[in-house]
Amino acid sequence: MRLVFQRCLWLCLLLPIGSANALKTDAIKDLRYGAALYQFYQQDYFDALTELYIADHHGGIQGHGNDPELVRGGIQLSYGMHEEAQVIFTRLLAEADISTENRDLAWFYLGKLLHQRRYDSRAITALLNVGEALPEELRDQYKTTLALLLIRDKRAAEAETVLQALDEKSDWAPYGYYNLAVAYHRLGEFEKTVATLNKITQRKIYTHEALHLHDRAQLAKAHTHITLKQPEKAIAAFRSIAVEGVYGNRALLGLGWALLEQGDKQGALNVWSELEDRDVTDTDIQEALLAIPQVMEKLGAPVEALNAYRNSSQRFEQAKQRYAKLRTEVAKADFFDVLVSEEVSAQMGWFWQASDLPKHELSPYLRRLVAQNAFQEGLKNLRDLYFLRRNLNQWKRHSQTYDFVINTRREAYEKRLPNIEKAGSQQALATLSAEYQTLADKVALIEQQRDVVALANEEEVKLLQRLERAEATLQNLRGHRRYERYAERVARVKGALMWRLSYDYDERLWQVKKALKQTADQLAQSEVRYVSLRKAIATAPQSFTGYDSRIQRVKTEIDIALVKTHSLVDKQKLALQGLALAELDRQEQRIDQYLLLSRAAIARLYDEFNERQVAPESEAPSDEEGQQ
Amino acid sequence: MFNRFQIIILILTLCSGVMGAAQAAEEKAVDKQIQDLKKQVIQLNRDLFVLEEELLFPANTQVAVYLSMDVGTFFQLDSVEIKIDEDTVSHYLYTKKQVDALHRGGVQRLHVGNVKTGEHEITAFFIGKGPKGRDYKRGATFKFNKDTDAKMLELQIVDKTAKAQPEFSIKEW
Repeated sequence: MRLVFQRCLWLCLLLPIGSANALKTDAIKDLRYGAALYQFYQQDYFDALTELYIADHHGGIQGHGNDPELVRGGIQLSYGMHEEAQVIFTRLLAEADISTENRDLAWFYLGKLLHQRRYDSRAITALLNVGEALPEELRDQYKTTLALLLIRDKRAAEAETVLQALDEKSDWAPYGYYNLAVAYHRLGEFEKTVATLNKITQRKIYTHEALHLHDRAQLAKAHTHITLKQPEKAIAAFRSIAVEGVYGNRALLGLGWALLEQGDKQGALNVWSELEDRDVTDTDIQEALLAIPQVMEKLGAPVEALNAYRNSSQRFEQAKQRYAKLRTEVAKADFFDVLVSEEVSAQMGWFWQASDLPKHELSPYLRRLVAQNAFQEGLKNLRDLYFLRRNLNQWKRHSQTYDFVINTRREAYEKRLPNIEKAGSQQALATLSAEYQTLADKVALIEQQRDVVALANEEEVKLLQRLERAEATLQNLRGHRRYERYAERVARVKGALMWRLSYDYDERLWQVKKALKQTADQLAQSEVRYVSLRKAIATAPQSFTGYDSRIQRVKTEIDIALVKTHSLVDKQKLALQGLALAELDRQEQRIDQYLLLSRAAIARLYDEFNERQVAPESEAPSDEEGQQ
Repeated sequence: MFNRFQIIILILTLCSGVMGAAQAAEEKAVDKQIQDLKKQVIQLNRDLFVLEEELLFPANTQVAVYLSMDVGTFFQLDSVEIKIDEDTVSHYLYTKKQVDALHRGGVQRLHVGNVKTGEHEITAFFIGKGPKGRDYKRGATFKFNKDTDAKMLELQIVDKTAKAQPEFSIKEW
């Protein structure tokens, strides 16, 4: 179960949204860890890391060994915090109690991290430390990554050995094969190149990504066939590429060249005419725009060639105008805000791709730029900075209310305290306790003396008093003729009363003792309430004291972090601007080159027409064109 | 002709791959600063969460309700309603992404609130699709005693394979 958990977890670290499978984690032994995983599985990396840090504050995560640390490192890796992640993986590897699985995972992710940071040699060393305990689901990715690094290190034979063990059905296999094919090509082993690329092109295509890889492999295969002087095979490879796909332009261009190599000039022209109206910022289109008139010239159609060159020049000019517009846009402060909108900048990890960019009028002109790794990472950084800024601004608003909460509590406390003190004073409770004790002593004495009269009710007391008065009167009537009769009547009434008191004594005593016990209970409750009240009075200030300095500190930290964020946003924008302008320079430079070539060709053709004294049929040359 | 164009493109492509050393160093420095800022903001976030929790939900009154879920073969969660002592304190609607996170072992902190010390009753209603896709609503009730420590309760949705039914329970941590 534990292994299943890890597999699920690490797949999630690896795969973009929607591609992680739904394996179940092990039972959660710490709710805070579960809460961190809940955020992590939704790719809310920032919140997931915050949960892990909160867990640290509360004494750390219990019952999950060093899994949480591996998760933390993995999330940091996904969130672009490479340095922190490296520290964690390195520390975990130094721990004596790390399990074999976690050790292999740590080496694997350390290797990936070093690979991302372009420390290839160290990455290879780390990956070679990975043992057999690496989860099966990660093994193909591991082999592909290691093979790529070995290829880069010019160790193609070792890479080949590594990739031989690759599951051919794995999603990672095409990447590994492609890299190996590139290595073979560089070594001049073209037959092996083609054989390796065939492993990719023969796979069934189910996804957009698979189609992309297929086309890329076919393109590489076509170029290899050209190198091998096998134009027919090259043509077949070019034709199998989707013309509207990412490699469509390059395929059509290559196909045209291959047909031309076979002497099929018209075929080449037909193919390239497909490219004429496509996006002129693409280098393949630019090349096609120049190649078309050249072939027309070879076909002996100089007038058509001249018109085609004019068309090319016009298209290049249009591209230059667009570049100028783009240059102005790039210089604007909010240009990158359009590319990385606040909505886009939620919490997506570093799997976020430029294809997620919002549609923009000039986006097609940035395609080449956006494809650059440095620019992609710059955009990701900018997106993360926007997220941090939004988070800090939210806390800034929240923190304003803290003072209000504290002040309200303080005022309420100070207002209520005197009344509370008055109502629940210790003296009042002591008086009540003393009264109770007196009453309890009295009842004890009654019980001890079996004082039935003491338990007489109000009516009976009055009767007793009347009897006492009657007895006193009788003393004065001694010798009276009715004395005996009166004395007997008083004695009879008193006897009856005393009998009733005596008869009811036990029940009355029980009632009195019951009432006394109820009083004792209420008194005890009052004492408890009093203690609680004193405790509340003592602890209530805790709800508003001691916070002032903490609130002030976090407010200051928010402000400091916001200043840093603003500064870094500016720096990152400037860096992106630099990359964009440099790319625009390169693209414009290339357009200038092509424009120069087309204008030179136009001038040359006019010279040839002049030499032959033949005017082009379509249109008389202008002086301006001739001078260019 | 073929080669001439290819050479031009190759040169231009190679040129485009060269980045100034100073520019690269600057980018690395900015990247490092952003990494440091991320760490700083996450730590600040932690401090603010802890502060807010202490301020608004002190331990002696705090009750936190979490939700966990099994594979969900017999129950597709749509929403959860929580009542504490007859007061509805939370009514949460789930997205597919959130349900997926729960299936994979994530635990959601669904509600944090305040109750007085003493006996309380929590009732949770789980609403969604039950076996065979039928509308399904079940409740679970649990009595708990709030003392001065923070109280943590976990609502659990578990598939009972033997009964081919979901089971709903509340666990006290």
